[in-house]
Amino acid sequence: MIPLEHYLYLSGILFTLGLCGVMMRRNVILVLMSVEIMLNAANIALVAFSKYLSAGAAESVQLDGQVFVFFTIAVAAAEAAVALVIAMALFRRLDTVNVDDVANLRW
Amino acid sequence: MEGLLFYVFGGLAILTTLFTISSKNPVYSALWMIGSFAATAAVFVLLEAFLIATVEVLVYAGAIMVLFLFVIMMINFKAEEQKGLRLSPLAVLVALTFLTLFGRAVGDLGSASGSKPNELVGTPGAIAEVMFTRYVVPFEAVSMLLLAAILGTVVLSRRNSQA
Amino acid sequence: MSAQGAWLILFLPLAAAVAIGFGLHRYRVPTLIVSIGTVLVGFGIAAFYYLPVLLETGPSFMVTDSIRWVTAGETSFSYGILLDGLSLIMLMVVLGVGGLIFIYSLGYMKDDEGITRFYGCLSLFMFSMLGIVLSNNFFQIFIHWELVGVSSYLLIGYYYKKPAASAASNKAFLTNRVGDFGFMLGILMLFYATGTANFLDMATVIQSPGYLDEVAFQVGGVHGWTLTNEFFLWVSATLTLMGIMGKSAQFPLHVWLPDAMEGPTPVSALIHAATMVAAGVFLLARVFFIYLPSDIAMSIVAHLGMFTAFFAATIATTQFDIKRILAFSTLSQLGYMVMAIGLGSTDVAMYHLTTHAFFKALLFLGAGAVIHAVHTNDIRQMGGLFSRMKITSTLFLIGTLALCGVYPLSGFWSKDGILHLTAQPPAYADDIFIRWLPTITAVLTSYYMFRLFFLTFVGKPRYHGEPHEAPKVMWMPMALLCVMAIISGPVLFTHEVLESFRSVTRPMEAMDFHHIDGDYHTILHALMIFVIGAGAAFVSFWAGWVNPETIKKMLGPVHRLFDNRWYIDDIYAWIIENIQQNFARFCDGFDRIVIIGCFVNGSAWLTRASGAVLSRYQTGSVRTYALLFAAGVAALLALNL
Repeated sequence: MIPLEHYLYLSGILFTLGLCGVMMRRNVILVLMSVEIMLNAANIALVAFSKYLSAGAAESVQLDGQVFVFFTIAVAAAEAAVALVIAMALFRRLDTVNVDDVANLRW
Repeated sequence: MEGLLFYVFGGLAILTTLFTISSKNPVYSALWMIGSFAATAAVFVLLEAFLIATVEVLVYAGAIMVLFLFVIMMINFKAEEQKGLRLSPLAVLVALTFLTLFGRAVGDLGSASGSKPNELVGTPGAIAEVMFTRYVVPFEAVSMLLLAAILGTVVLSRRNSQA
Repeated sequence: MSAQGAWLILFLPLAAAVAIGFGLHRYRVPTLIVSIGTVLVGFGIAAFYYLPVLLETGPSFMVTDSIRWVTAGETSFSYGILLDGLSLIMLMVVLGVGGLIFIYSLGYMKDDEGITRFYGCLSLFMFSMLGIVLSNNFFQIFIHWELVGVSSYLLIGYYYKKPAASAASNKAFLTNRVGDFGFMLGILMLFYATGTANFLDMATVIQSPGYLDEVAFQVGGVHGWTLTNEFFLWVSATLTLMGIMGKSAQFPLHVWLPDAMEGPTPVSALIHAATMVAAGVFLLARVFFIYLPSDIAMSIVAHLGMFTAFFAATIATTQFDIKRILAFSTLSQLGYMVMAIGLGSTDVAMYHLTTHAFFKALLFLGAGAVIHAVHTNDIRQMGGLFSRMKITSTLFLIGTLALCGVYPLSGFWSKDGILHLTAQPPAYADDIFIRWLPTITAVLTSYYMFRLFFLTFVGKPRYHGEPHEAPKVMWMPMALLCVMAIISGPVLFTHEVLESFRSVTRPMEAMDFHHIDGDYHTILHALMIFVIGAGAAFVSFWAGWVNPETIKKMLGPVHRLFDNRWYIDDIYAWIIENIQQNFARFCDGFDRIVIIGCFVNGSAWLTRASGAVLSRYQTGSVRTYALLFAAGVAALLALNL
């Protein structure tokens, strides 16, 4: 049997990788992908908690984590759709998808 | 057997994710990412969350990644944008700190970590029962969010929206 | 006795002032009728309704009434009437002399365009003054005290286009404020110590046995200071005296009164001779009970009055402005009254107040008639007016003689009553100054008054133009005042009436009344004083046997001291110019540097500087934000571990 910690370690590693992607990639598409990875890592943790931490609780409560994952996926889909359109608008307007080139919003 | 499968798929997930974020070509990134989602779906199966695993493959690996691929295809990347990870020491430091602290946090879970997994199986029927009773209001809220996202996408993608 | 009459007396002038202020001032004749009428009606009520009862019942006469005004928790303040012998006599003086001056002003102000404004202010003043006289508690008297200050401000500054007049009104108001501040503190302390502001209640509390030794206040626990009520009482009494110093123009807050002569002469007569400045003396008599338990407080009062009397008389000998001489003379006489109270005799003080109101008002009105005739205040430009203005001159001479205390005029009875007190002073004030200075002051009084008289009415004419006698409306009130000044000796003020001058709030064990017998010895004493003073004036200003200039040279620095009013105004000017201005400058600098510089501009600078520093971290780079965000999450995690 796999202990809960291992799932969480997996989740943490994937999350950190996504974080690295956000911090270190310049392509806006890749940044968005990294955000999706981070959301996905959180999903693993949620499902693992649902399986392990709610033992003994009522059945409806035990499934809370999985329902949350549903919502996460829905939000991720919405976010991806909007963000990708913004990326396209950015490209159309500035002819670039490099986030370092888009630093106009400052003092 | 189950333990072995977890480590295999977990390892696969980490590996493919690593490739995803480090590939120079975005198309490769997207393809590696599909692999990453598939491995994650397998982990969900090991957690007996069957519906989630299905949705993961359908929505993430299917719909969202196709969307990404579409956009990647539509954008002409210049050569200098096709670079891999730009390793900045500060970012690496932050990432490692985060990972260490996260590991310590997990280690501190204490007694809760020793609990046995429950017998629950994430079938569509069981999840639907919770989602449409206890979580019906958030569910409707999410549907509104999706509607708003659709509208926003349409508005933003119009050509003359620059004005 | 019903108190309705008293309410009527008090509020009729207010009604007149309000009516005049809200529109009646456009119509000249109705304004004059209403204004003068209310005073005459008030005088009628006092004279024909209350006075007979007073004469019948004597010192036990008292009418009280009270309306609860403000209630705050268990404390309530009332607005009420306390009409006893003391306040009734004061009422008669204020209304009687006031009424005559109201009539006199008809002539004096006849050609003045603002005559309706003048009468409105006079009515307001009358209301304020009557409020002081009829008050039954400290808070009410303080309100009217301030109202009197306001109305005197308006009246002194009546010729507001004249810079000297507005400056004088400001000076009067501000000087009174200084005194009133002390007065207010005194009232609050008394209220704290006795738990009541009502005069009768307060007197009962203070006179209750053992009260003086009770602990009023403790500072710093058991081993700290323990203040008994006795100590508390004399401190608050001295603070209250500050208010009296301001209104009654006692040293060192006297500086406003000579300047206040910039107002119209009827105002000088009404406010600055007969009524307002007497308010302080009246108040002293009214709250005599807070001074009586303490020898220190009584001694302070006595010496203050004594010094003011002497001090003002010395200055009066050197002045040349006719009204200023009279003003300093008023100061001096007020000093006498305050001293008499300090020596434990409210009745003599009030008696002198009454007679003084008659002859000093007469003198001021006479001076007004002279000024009206020759259009100057300077007595060096008068002289020889006797042949031109026979009535005025005669009346003025009688007033002068009364002020000098010549037998059998009223001044003799009252002033020698006071001098009699100083011959046998109580133990707490028994020193060489109290024994001799008032007598010397009396000599000086005769000297400066006859100097004034000789320079104005006899000798070589030095005036310009054609002076003429005052109109009837002006000399008739003077004649009435003159009659009062003559007969207000024992004819009018019998022993029984004088008894009622004692306030009902006066404790039983107060000193015995010193009645003036008018025996041979006293008359001779008074006559000697008069002859020395008037004779000195005669030889130098009429007969010309001695040149005043040589005396001036002989006296040298002493003359300069008197001529410059003991340099009090200069000292104040120096204090204001150096100490106060420097303090103001310091405050200004403090405000500019610390408040504005450090706090106001400093906080603005801090905001700007921190913004300048922090805005560097707003790079616009998404990756930097992501990095900082991740670092923040890591920090939160670290905090929770």
